[in-house]
Amino acid sequence: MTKAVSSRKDIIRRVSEEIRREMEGYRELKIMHLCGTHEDTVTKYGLRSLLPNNLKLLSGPGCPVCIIPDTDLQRVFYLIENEDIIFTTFGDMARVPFKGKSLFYYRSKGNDIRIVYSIFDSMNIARESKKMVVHFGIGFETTMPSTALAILDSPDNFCVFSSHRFFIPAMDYLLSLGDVRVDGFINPGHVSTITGIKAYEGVRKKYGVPQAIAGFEPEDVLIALLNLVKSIKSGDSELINEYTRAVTYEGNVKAQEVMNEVFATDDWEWRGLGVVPESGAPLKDKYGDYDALKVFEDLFEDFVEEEDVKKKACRCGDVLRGIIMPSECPLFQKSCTPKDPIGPCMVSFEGTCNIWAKYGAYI
Amino acid sequence: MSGWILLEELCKNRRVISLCLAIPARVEEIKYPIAIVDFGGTKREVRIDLLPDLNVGDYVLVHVGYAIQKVSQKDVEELSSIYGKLRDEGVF
Repeated sequence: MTKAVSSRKDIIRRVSEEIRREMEGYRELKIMHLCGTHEDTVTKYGLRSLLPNNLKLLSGPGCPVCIIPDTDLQRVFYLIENEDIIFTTFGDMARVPFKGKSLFYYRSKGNDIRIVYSIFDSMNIARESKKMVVHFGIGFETTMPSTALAILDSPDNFCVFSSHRFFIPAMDYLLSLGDVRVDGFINPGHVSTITGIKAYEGVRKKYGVPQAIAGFEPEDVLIALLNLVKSIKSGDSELINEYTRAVTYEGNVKAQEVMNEVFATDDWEWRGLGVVPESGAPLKDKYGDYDALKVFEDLFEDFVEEEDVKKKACRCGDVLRGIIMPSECPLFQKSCTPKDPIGPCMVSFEGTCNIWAKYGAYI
Repeated sequence: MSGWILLEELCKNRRVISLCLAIPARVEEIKYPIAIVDFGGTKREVRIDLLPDLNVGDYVLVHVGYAIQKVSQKDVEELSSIYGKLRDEGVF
C-alpha cells in the first residue's frame, strides 16, 4: 500500500514538473475547469500550488446548484407556500437561501419537504401517497437522463419543476462574452460520459480553444493540464479525452435519446451569465402533465419576481464566470461562511466558495 | 493499492452526493430495469435502463440512482488509462 501511495505521489510530482518545464518562459495561460468536483480535487490536493505562476487555473460555471438563478428558487418557494404538496429535492439545494428562507426553512415550518438521493425515490414517495409530489429537477446532462426516465415512467401525482440546464451552450456563451480570456478548458468528466466527446466539436470549431475531458483524481487533472499546455503551445485546438475509462466519442446514446424525447430547449437565465441561448431544459409540451409550471399554471400567473437585497454584495456570479477567486469577494469568510451562507457558491458542496472555505485555500 | 480501493477511498471522502460525480459499483443482481449494485460494501437498487447488455459482475458508474456508463473491471482495478497515458507521454 505504501509503495502504491508513493507511486501516486511520484506521478503527481513528475507531471507537475513536466508542466513547469513546458511553461518555462512561455506567456501566461488561463485554463478553466468547468465542474465543481474538479474544483474539489484541485483545492483539496492543493494542485494550484504545484503549478507555475504563469499558469492560472480558473473555476467556471460548473456547479449546477450555484447557477440556478434566484427566480427559480423564488418560484419553488411560492409553490410550496401556496399548494399542499410533497416537495422533493437533492440535499445540496435545500440550504440555498432567498431572502433568508430556504427549503430547510419551509420544512421547519411544517411543509412536507423531503431530501432524496434520486428522482426514483421521489417516484416511490408519489406511489405511496395521494398528494401531488413535485421534484426539483436540477443538474446538467449527467442528471437530466434520470429525470427523463422518471417522466417516461411517472405516476399521475408526480411532476417536475425543471431547473435543468444544458451545459455546453454555456461554454459557447462564456467564450462569446469574452470578458475572461480562456486559453483552454478542462471539460466535466461525467457530463461528457453522457454527451460524448462529439458534443464539444461545435465549440472547438467556433472558438478554436483546446479542451481536455478529465476524470476526478488529482492525476487526471494534472495530466489534462499538461496536455492542454502542449496543445496550446502547438497551436492545435485539440479535443483531448483524458477520462478514457468512462468517456467515449459517442457518449451514452440511449441517455441522449431519452433526454431528447422529454426535454425541449429554451433561452434560460444562469446566475452570473445572464440568459444563455438554448441552455434551458423545459419539458416538451406533450409531457405538460408532468411539468410543475403547467400543472400549477394558474398559481404562477400571479407570481411576481423579487430581488434579494442580501445578495447585492455577493459576487457568486463573478466567481462562476472565473472573473474573481472567492477570496476576492468582500463577503467571503466574513459575513458569508459555509455555516451561514449568503450566495449559493458558499452553500453547495460543489460551489467554489464552499470548497475554498472547507479546505482553507484562501490562507 | 488497487484503483478499486483508491476509488472506494474517494467515495468515503465525498461526504455528500455530488451532482457532478458518479461512483463506481459492481452489479450484483439484475431485475431489469433495476439492478442491485455494491458500492464497496453498501448495496443499493439503481436503474439500468440506459445501459444495454449489462451482466452480473460488470462495473458501472452510478449517478443519482441510475447507471450512466459501464466501466471495465481492468480500468477500475488498475486506473490503467492514467498510467498508460503517462507512459505514452514519456513522463515515465
